[in-house]
Amino acid sequence: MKSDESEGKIQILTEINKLIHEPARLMIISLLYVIENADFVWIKGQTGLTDGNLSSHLSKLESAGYVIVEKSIKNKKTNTLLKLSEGGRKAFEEYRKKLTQILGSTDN
Amino acid sequence: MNEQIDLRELEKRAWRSAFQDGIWDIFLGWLFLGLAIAPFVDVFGLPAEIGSMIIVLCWNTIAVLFLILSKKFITIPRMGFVKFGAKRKKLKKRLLAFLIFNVILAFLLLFINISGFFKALNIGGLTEPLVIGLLLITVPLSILAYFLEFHRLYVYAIFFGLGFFNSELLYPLVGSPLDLFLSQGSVGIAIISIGLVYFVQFLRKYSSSQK
Repeated sequence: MKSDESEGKIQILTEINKLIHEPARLMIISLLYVIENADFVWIKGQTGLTDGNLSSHLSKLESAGYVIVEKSIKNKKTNTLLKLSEGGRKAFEEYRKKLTQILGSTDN
Repeated sequence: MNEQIDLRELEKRAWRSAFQDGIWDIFLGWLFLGLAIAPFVDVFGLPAEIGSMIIVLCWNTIAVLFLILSKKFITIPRMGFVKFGAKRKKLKKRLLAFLIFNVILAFLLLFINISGFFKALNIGGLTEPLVIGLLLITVPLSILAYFLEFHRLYVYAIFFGLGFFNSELLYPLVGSPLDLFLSQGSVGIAIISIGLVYFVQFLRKYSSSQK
């Protein structure tokens, strides 16, 4: 009986949002979840990712509709403002719920 | 990996990062130094009280300008821009309400003091500057430190609050206004120095870049 339950739980792993599950993207989404918005430089400083790496992850998150990217020109430089979309917020909450379901009750 | 992703802690850490540039420290130290320097400056032969008030006002304007401009032109280009969520907005509103209350309270206490109420209570000697300093400076600044989660401010609040008391202790030895300069000016200089250390560390950590 218990083994059936465990099997059921382990299968939820396949339902985990792989786009969010990637560590760098999880860092980005976690940060954007706790704030209203931030620019590229702030997210880069907090995550420690390189420009290229961060850009690449942001493109994926933007394509999925999780992150809203607004570009503007400030003092002749491009300013990239990032915000978690409503869909991204819901997806992250769902991800957290799933992960808690799977790992939350483990004793070891 | 034993550590959980604590979102609340993540938000707090992000918030506190705003104080790692040392600019708030320099700003506060500068304000306090102004109080110590004001009695030494002669403003066009005006009476000392009015002259001091003009100096403090000009000094504080420089401090506020320094805070705004350095955040805009030094911190944000290096560290980036961040806008916090609804919880912080609520806290900011509470903080503003508290500051307004504090200003009203300070005026009220000043009025009571002028009316001679404290003299009637016969709180004399060293107790008066100690009580005034702790009540009017340490307590409000500690509440400010709590709201801002700016932990160094708790220590500054104690030193600021003890300024008047220390000045009273020094008065028999060095006289006025050197007592004020030594007691409050030294605290101001110490806080500016701490701020400068943080500022240099910040500049080393964040090079100027913008995307």
